[in-house]
Amino acid sequence: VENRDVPLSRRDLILKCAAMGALTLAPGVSIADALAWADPQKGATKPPTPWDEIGPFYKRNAPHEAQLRAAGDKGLPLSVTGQVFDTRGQRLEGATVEIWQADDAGIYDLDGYRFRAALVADRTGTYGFESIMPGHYPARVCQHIHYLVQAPGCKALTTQLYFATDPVFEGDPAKNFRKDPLIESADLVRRVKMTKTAAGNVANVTFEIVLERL
Amino acid sequence: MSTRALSTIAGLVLAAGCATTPPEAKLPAEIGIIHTATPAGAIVMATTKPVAVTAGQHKLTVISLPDGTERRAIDLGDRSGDALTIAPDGSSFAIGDHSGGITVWNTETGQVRFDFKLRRYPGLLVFSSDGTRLATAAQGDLVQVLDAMTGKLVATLGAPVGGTSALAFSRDDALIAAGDGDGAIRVYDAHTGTLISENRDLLMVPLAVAFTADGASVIAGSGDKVLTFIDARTGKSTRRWERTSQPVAAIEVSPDGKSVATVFMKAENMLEPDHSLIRELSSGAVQLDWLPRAMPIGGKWMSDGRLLVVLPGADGLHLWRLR
Repeated sequence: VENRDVPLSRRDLILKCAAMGALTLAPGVSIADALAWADPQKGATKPPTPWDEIGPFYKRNAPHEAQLRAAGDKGLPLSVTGQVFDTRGQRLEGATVEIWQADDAGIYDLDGYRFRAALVADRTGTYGFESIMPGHYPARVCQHIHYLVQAPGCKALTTQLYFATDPVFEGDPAKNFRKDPLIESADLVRRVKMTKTAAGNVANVTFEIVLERL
Repeated sequence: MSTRALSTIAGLVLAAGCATTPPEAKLPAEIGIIHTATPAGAIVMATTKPVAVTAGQHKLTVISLPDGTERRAIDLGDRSGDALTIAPDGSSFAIGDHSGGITVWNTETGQVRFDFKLRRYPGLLVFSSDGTRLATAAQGDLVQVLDAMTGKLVATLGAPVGGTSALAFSRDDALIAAGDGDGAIRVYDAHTGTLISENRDLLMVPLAVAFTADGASVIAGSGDKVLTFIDARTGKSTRRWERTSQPVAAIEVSPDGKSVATVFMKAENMLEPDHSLIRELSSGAVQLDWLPRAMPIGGKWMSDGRLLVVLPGADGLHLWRLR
């Protein structure tokens, strides 16, 4: 007798459908693929996000505020979203994602918390913030946003997000990422998708974070 | 490659091992130019011996001070000197390259004492006061304290979030102060690596730490733009000087322990020079406020009480005396 109070998991549903001959998969997709989709937190492995240095301007106690862009701020509006996982593919609800960046002129706010935030990943491990494309800091080669990501049971990660549209990369970040000696992996250079809104162009970037387990 | 003689300027007499300044001479003063065949991007000076090492264009040059005579040149091949340091007594010097390779040389003989490998480029490379130990850390990684003669691991310090950004030994080499990426100042037993105290009063990454001469206090500077005095044993803040216009990037206490030199970092462009201050430690009174015309590439408070700073120039390294 089936306990109807316990809902079927996606995995159980797929297995039952397969057993009953009621499962139709797209060409090239195996039952294993479907099971992996159904339960991404089991057995999946993800390479950890490459490290990058913390830099001199990290500041504790940043506000829990995802809207960093204020009316009148100069610079291209930037929307960054992503999910936080561990290397087993488990979404890390509650992970803290601290970010800090320069303004459009390449200047960091040391006296306050402009363009600084401490975000908390939601139930799906998702975080996001609305900002502006950082300017070029004079002592650095590339535009970048700093990250410090922490979650219980995982190693804290400091890293930096870079933008494929940065002129430094000359349109080929995979080839040219080492023009900035602090970039150790081209994986940190992310594609920028431009969208048009009523307010104008917005740069959209996805930056998934994968933490190593302790 | 050869290093040319140090010229004298403004009537200052450069005697062996000591740039003597007439009592009436006004400081700061430019006291000489070191002409080097290879442009130098950095210079480190010993405090008790008249010796320095310059680095630039994949070459290290050991020179005598103040005459600038080249004593030894070392070709680094394709290695880049990301970090350069010399023991206070001048007995050893070391570089760390961008791949994480550390090499320590005997200054007198030019022989390599040992090579050591970090997992990435170094964030720290600091000799103990007596030159027998070398503290180093890859960027973002934990600090390892090595025997400076053999490379044997002596102790490891904690592994803070963001790594350690500033480090100093006490003058008796009993303690190590670490400024960590999480904003904390931690003091360790230098022999065992045991944590002794922790201070979390700074909000930003510490950029410089130094012990007072008696080792009782740690002075820390950061993007918080204040100089904080911390009891080394308890970790409690005991004093904070008034807010400055820029972050403190370097701190050096005078040999007599009565003054402290601080170098500020121009936060909006750290490639440009900012002010250096000398203040009386007991009162905080400013004794000197100096804005160099170029970003200093080295500086040291010598054991005889002189404070020397080196500025780059098209015609060589310009040696300034601030005290």
